[in-house]
Amino acid sequence: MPTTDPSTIIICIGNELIADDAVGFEIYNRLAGCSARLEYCSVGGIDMLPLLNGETDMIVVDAVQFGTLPGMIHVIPWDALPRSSSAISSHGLGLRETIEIGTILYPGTMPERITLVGIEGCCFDRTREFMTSGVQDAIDTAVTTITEMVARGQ
Amino acid sequence: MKKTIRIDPVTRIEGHAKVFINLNDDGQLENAGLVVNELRGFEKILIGMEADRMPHITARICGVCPTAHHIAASNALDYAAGVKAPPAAMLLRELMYMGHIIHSHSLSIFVLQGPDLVMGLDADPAVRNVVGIVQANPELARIALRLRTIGQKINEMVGGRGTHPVTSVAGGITFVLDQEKKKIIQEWINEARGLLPTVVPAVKGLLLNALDKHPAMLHDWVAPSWGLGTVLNDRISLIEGQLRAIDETGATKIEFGVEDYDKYLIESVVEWSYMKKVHFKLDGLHEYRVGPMARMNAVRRFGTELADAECAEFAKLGGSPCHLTVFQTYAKLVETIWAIERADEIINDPFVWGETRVPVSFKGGRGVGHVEAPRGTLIHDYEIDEKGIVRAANLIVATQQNYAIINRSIEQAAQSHVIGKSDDTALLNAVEFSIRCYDPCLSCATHAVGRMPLEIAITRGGKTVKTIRR
Repeated sequence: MPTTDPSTIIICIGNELIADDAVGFEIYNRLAGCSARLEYCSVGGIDMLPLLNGETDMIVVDAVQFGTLPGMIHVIPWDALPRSSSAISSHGLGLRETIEIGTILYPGTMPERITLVGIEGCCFDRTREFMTSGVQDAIDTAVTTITEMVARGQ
Repeated sequence: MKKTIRIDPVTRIEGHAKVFINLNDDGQLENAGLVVNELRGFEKILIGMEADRMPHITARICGVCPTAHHIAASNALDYAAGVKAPPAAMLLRELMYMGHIIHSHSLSIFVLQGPDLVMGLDADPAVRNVVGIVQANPELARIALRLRTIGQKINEMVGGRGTHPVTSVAGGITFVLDQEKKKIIQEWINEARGLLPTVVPAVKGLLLNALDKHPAMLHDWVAPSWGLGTVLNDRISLIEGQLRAIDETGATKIEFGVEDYDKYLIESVVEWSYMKKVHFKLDGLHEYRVGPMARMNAVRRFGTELADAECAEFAKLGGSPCHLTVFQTYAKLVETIWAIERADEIINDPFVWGETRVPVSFKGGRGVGHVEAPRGTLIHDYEIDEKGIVRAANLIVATQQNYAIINRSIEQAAQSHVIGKSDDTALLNAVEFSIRCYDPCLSCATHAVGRMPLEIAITRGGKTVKTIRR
């Protein structure tokens, strides 16, 4: 069993029961045993903040929709993410806003580097068996990408 | 020529929810509504599963209210098995649930509606967001998020897992309380109590200030309707009790057990949305409201000192029954106070140390159970065969029941802020705010990276003549 690397936390997000949204949960399962601290949030948003213990690096893994082909993997620093506007439901607080809130309220625990590993999805209103094939096929590559990021210390 | 104004909150999940406002040839409001494309097929995936998995599986429907599904499913299985969970089990389920209510309401009040209250409806959207509220009042934000964290910790300790609780099962609960856990939970409750003298006046002050700035909220954004809530021992209850329906005047029309819900709650399909809306059937069909304000309207008593005092203040300011849409926020605040007090009562109740499980077997039949979810009454209804396999499932969620009232609130927001006015920002703000008061559960996959949350397309005769994006 490898020793946990205290400097990196990986937070995987997504509903395991919903088509392409389940990709974060699938990757979470595949990363079990990796050296970084591994956490899972079904919704993400502000619930991520209490999970942080002063790690230097955070990798957030989630399904995204940037308008590219399903399965494309986007590796993006958090401050390059598009900004959300106001939400009409508490289901929708963006990662960028969450990090900004954390930076204001809990500067001592916020990581120095925060990176989104987003897997492009397109089906979010059907159940798990309808995961898009491109998204399913991207899981291995995403796991490799994240593992290499952890090994490089970013 | 007809004019259609369409508002598309295009979150990460494209086409997830839209608002339409239809004006007639004279520019008068014809109708308005929220289009919800809910997750399809969830009830179908439950078919063929072992019934005793329902509390675990259905808790995964939603990342925002998993504990509501977890306990509604447990109650339904108790009914199916013909057992009653022991008193200690019901108390511990309720303790878990109070943690969930604190957690959920804190998010809804501070993160979702806070920006409207702190910044005002007319504020620039660039600052009228949750980051803006944190910047404007970081100390209040820190306290609010601490309250939320305490709720989550209680939920996690009793529920076994934070996000998706696992301990409530058919016939009881697997969580075992001991003195060490009691001590920790008591410390969290004490800390939460200590935050109330700061949080309560702050939220009320913001709310009253918002009403001063926007008197239309008091005079025009009023939606008289029937209401539905759960009552037990003449007080509000969230995980057990009879359902009580009241009319617009607050008069009790009927009380019934949840197993009879399908006699009174009538689902119907609307052409523009996957989501079915629900009316209350009793001497005709009635639009009705569920959720914190409906519960307070229907039952009017919490049975704890601070919550009942605040309940009286609520009635003084908003009337009883209250039909002010904006007072949903205040009702959540009162319930948050009660959840803290009730958690304190439970952890100090001698019955909490009793037996926590009874044996369960399924002999075939129906299982119906409910809870009062943070956003309103949630019902689980299963058909279970003699081998304990689910053969049919029906879930009635709060947003379905509030749907008609949400749409009416959108119409009122449009009337006061849109009709005859050309201020697109005011339109967006008012419509968004009216929806936010109900915090609808649009789907449970909405999270993380957002982009273009709002898009308005104005069309005439079916052709788009203007598109506004925020």
